[in-house]
Amino acid sequence: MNNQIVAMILAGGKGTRLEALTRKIAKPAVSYGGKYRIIDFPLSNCANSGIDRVGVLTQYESVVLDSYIGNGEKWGLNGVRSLTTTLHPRQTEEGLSWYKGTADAIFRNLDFLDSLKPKYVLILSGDHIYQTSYKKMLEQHIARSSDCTISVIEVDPKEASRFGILVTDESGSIVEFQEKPRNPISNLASMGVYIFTYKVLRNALVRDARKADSSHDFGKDIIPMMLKGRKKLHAYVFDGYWKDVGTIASLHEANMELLLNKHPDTVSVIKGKNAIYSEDTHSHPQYIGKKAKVKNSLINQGAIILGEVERCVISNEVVVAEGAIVKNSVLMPGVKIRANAKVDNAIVAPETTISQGEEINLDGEEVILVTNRRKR
Amino acid sequence: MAHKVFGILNLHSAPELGPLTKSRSIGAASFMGRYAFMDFPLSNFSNSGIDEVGILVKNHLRSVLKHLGSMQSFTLNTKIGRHTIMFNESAHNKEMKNTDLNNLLKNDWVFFESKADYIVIQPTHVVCKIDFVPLINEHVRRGEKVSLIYAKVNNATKTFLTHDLVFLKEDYVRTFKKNQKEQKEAFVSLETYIINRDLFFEILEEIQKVKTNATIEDAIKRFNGKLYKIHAIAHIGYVRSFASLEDYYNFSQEILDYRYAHQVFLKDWPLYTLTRDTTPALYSSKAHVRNSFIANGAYIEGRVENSVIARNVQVLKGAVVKNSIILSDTIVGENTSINYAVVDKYCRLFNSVKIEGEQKAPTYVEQGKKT
Repeated sequence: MNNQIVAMILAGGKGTRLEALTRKIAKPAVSYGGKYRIIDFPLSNCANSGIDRVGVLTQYESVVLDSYIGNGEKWGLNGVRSLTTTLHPRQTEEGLSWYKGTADAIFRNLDFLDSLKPKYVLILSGDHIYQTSYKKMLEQHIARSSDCTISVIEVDPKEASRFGILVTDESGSIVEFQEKPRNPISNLASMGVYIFTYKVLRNALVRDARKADSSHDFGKDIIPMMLKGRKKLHAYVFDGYWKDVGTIASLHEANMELLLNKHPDTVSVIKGKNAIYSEDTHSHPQYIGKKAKVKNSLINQGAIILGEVERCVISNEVVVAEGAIVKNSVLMPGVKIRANAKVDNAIVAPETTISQGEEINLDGEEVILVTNRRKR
Repeated sequence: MAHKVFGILNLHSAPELGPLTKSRSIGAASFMGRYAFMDFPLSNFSNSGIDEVGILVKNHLRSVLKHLGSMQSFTLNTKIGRHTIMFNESAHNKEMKNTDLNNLLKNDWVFFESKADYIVIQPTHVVCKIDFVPLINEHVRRGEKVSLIYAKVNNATKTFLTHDLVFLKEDYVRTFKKNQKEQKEAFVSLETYIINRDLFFEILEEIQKVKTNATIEDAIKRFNGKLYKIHAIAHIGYVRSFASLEDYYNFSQEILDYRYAHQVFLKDWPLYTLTRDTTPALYSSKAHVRNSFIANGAYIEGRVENSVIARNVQVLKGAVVKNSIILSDTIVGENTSINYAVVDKYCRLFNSVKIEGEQKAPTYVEQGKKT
């Protein structure tokens, strides 16, 4: 399978709705689950699928993300047949321009894909949390001689208008695609995971690039154009945990779902047979203090807990001092909660310090993001 | 590091930790839930910029290889840096012949490839932080040929029993004496040396003419006062020597006290180790954990107090673990209770079993035990 397919991960987005969390880093580099970054998920999924040639398209605030990806070693994608590389917008004879859309990002790297001579290209989003192997999806793509296979998940019909919605016939062929429809007639949402037969994709991208009125987006332009051109598009139904963590509230929720009794898949998402790989920091083992209380929490190495934590996801190098009480919260790497401070229902951004006795969001019903720039 | 230095980690000189080292090298034995003993000297080398390292392995080679893996965990530059396992195959079941010196000579090709001018030797059973950069600079500036790192201790009747006591005259070692438990306050040798390369091989040749099956330390001590004077350098700070299961238990318990923990886990001195992609530790809503070190991959549903819990250990509902050390991948089943014990890896302790040791004599549970 290795020499047939190349994965391209779209990781250039800003993720504006994550507020200050993405002020200096791209959304795929945001911390999750005490130890991980969001991009660990698509990269580990590639590794577990036997796909070892991966291009990661980065653009917005890419320094942290680029150095994190490196040569793919953290996901084992540095083997003898592997290639892992980041692909940035670049200066060419025509000048310099940013990636204008998801399709444009791939179009501008056709030379990279050409050089690898893939039969199929897997397009992934760098900011979704789910665990899978793409093997079965590729098998279906090959068996049905598809031009494009789109991974879909069934969503609550009430939520359907937030997604790109696919309408299929009884054979699974896609007959219609609606981008965030007002009145959805299906509940199959696109996960932004596509397998294309490369030849077909290449032609579509070249055609799309010539269109002045195109937004150069897979959902808005490429898929509708292929449908119009009577290409063979099929849905592949994904069954499992999948989360698009677009907002502070959904990022918080996705973290809380790792705790026990919150979601049936919980930690099996990161621990199961398709394990998620990540960076192992050179931290000491976590220490739980003499007066500490730790309930229903997920805590990474390097943390020191001397106070009380309940329903929390806690990253490496976090310190919760004596007398501090933290509940329903996500503490990102390097957060310091000083003595007798109280925090509830919050995501505390990396390297933030909560002062002694400070109270954060105690009666707040909505989840808030806390950074060092807050008013005190 | 301005000078070219070759680091030797000597696993020959280590004492046994009772049943814990029955089938593994102490260098590969688990410590504080996350480390192996050899991580400490190897991190001293890495953090001092010493990237060319030979590991003299006496026995239990498999356990050493398993922990070191491809050794990239410790290498600064994976092209320039080099960690080499040195093992004396021809002597592996001949106790008398299986010395560090014979091992080193059998593997002398390692040095043909090295341009190092200085050799640094560390044992594996001594846990301390040593920054070799200033020590080597001082060694060179003073024009010394051999330097020894020693520590001043005030409990030499109870610890460092396998070490030599050193007696100094000004900055030099006058004599070495076996520790006969006669004095509490003493200068103890940390068996850690800086030695000029040419001299090192010269004395290894010389000692063989006068003593068969000699050790490297025999050679260094033998020619003190004749070919050179051993310069003594005091180590300041935390240092412990592990020579028994009791030492292992007591020193692990000691680190639970933050006054000691912060001397072992230093901010500017990372400890490198083999990493395993384990998830963060998960605590249930019934968990009760106090004064303990918990490694990643652990799952805690029961009660854990004054203990060290290694990777992937599960403490299930109603289970109680107190004053104990649980090594990786062990499951402490429902209602099982453990007090004053060292439980080795891969145990399955079910059926509400009770394991009770004494503070001065912790019970040892062997690897893979099922109840």
